[in-house]
Amino acid sequence: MSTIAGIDLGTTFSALARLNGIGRPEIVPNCEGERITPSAVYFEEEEAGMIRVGLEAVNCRQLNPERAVRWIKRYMGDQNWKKSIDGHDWTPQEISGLILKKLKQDCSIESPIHDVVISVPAHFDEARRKATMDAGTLAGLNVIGIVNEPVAAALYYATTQNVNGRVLVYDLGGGTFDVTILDIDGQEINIVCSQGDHALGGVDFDKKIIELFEEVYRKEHNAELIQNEQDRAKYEDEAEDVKKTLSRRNSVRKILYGTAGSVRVEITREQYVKAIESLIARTEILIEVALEEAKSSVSDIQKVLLVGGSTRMPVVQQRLKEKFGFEPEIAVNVDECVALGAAIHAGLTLLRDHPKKVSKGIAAGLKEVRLRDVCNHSYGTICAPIDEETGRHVIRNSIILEKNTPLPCEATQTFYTMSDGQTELQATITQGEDEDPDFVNKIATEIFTLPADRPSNRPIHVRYSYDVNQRMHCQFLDEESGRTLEVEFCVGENGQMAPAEIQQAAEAINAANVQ
Amino acid sequence: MMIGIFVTGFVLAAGFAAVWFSPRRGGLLQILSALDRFRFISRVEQLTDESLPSGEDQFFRVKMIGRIPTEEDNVDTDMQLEIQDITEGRSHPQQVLSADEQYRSENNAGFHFIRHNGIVPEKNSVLARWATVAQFPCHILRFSHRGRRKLMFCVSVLEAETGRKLTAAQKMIEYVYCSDGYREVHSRRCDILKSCIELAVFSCGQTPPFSRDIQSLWTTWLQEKSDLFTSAEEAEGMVEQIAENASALALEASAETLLAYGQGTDVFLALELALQTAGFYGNVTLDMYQRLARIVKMLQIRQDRFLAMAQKVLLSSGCHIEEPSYLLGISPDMDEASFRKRLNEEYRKWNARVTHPDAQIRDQADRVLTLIANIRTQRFQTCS
Repeated sequence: MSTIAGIDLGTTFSALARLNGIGRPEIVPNCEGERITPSAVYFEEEEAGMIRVGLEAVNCRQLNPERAVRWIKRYMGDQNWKKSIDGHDWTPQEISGLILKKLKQDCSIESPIHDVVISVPAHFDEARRKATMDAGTLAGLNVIGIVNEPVAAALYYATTQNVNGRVLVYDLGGGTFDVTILDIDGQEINIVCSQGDHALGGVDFDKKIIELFEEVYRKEHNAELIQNEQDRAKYEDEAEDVKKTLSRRNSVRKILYGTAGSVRVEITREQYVKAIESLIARTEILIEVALEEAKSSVSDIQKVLLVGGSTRMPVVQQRLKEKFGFEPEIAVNVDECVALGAAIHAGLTLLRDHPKKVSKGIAAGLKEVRLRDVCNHSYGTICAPIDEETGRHVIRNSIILEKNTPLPCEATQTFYTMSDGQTELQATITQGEDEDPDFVNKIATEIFTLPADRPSNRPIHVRYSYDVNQRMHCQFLDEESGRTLEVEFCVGENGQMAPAEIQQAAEAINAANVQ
Repeated sequence: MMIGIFVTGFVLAAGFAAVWFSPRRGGLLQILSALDRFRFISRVEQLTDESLPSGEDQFFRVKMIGRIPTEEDNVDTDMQLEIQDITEGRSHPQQVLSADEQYRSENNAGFHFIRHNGIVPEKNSVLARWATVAQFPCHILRFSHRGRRKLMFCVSVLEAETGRKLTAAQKMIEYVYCSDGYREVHSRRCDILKSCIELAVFSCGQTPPFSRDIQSLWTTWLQEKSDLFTSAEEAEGMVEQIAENASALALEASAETLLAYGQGTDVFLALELALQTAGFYGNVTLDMYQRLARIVKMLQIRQDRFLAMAQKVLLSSGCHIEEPSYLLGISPDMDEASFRKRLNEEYRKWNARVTHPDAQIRDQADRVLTLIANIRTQRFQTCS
């Protein structure tokens, strides 16, 4: 029996947890003895081929930021992002693959890590999910599934703490923010809805502190504090320190050194809260949006569970207390519960798909746990209905499977051919909530051939189904002829990297000297 | 007696010869041809098929009969049908257009029909029975003007190889055309486009003279949105004419023209141009926004449609917007619940766009999310 593990591949920190003999998740420390590893990569200049990942990479970054990468998760799925080092263009998948390799090699000392579930923000789309799975494959892992971070956290809370009723998971991490509303009854978890903000996390709070630094320096010296990437890297780290200190103390004093001279600065918690007010407003909006989606009011929420390092900020906890009227629940360590929950999810996935791979002890430990997830996005198709106002055909995205529908699910809609003698139609599968096709993601397009010589208005039934393995099946059925067009895909199947490219990149990462 | 007959015969022969060699020879030929009982003639029947919906139930059936003169035996022939609108006189024929490609020539929309007729076996063969040249629905025809029209149907038999006309016959009928004629439609379309530009001029709140750049925006728009103009100069001419008279613009009249004669989409075309014009200056002022709102009210456009279009045009243009909360449907007099609801709706919409594959849409969504958060912060800070 191989070790069953879950990985939280975070924007600022990553962690790996495994299931013990009785199905309880536990964090596996890295080789430095730390329970979490900074998601940072540094390519050594003097020792060719040496790649540092984690704390060492953070420490080296200030010396040569050109050879360092942090917060790579923000670029997952972005085909245009590349980091060019010594003639090699590193993709976000490869950089993430290096971080995962470090976790894998550090945590495989007791027993080898192979089958894993990796967590992603709830709002990640297909491309980003696929990129995350590819990163795991590049690191030599067998990625058996992907789990939404708040779902993983909820799994951990539900199985280890006494939580019951309608619960809101508030996941404010290093780079992303997710709100998930779920119902917990013992060890049975039903996800109701999720909402996420891709650009809201610790990094953005740090940026506000840098802006405060710059403002003070400009006022004092009428010059710019940050002149180059080295300065930026330095003050990014300083800002992170200030932010953390302000969670414990009311003010922080610093000396800022710039080319025009130094300046002593004092930042108070009040100043900081004012600076981050618009970011806090975003979290509040997202909570309201999630509550609206769940058709719930504030009073329906019985518990608020905190996840992610940024929830340590007193202003976050204070605002949540003001909104809900009770203290939010804080886990033993908010940085670890996603990885711990991901390990439970890995156990549940293996139990469902390959029960023989799971030991009796783990199976017994997880036998009471039930998880019902929902569709993370809306799926639809492009059609051309008649606009009531103009009387003309307009191109529209029509949603067939709605976001937050419990899995497994299925939905059918009927459309009609537009013209006499129409012999084909473009079957487009979209992901997104918009009616305007310009704003949705077209994830597949196929041509459906129809019989010739028919008048218009022939019915075409479009059926989408989505199963618990996140496998989606789309069927376009021409009622008259019985002809069908079937499109099937699974999360992680269609991505930017071809299998041959993945294999080639995996070999390169396998050969890389990651420390 | 004999002398009398001889003289009469001589006079008749001399008269015939005099007319034959004079310009009146055509008339003489007509008289002679009318005397020919096998002369080539045509007829036009107007039929009704009651099984078809009203408006599509009328048909023209055109037939021909008579002699087809050829210079040799076994000549392959085509038959051709043309229609002219001679309501304003034979000397001023108007083109009749066809909405059906089957009854059009290759190069233009004018009515034209030609099909194979077959072999004429001998010189001067006679088509002894009425043969159908064409049968087509009346509603495919387009005339220059609405009302009673005089139509000349011209049927010809052509030599297939050379296209030479062997014989022809004409038949005039009267027909009542109940739709707007294409000249009326063209002139109205010009009025509609003119109204769109006039509203755009109003939206920017600028006074003449206008810059070449903004005039060029309007000219390009005219050419893109309409095939009325055969040249850029023609479209420029319309823009210059409006720009010259901009100080005397009657906004209500322009809106009324659009509402009265425009199609459903025209009001949205007008709004799109007004938005592009407002965004063109790089700074959408409160005054411009109020002008846009006035246009929207006059064109009876729904608020949600206006907001969707305004967001799409203005937020993607990268121009500065003086009071962005209006673009998100927020007004200063909104109560707290409506304010939150509206802002949350906008947040949900833009947050879903933030992971779009197109980087431009992602950036736009990012900017709007920041904007929404700032508007909310501002409101609640003001309240507290």
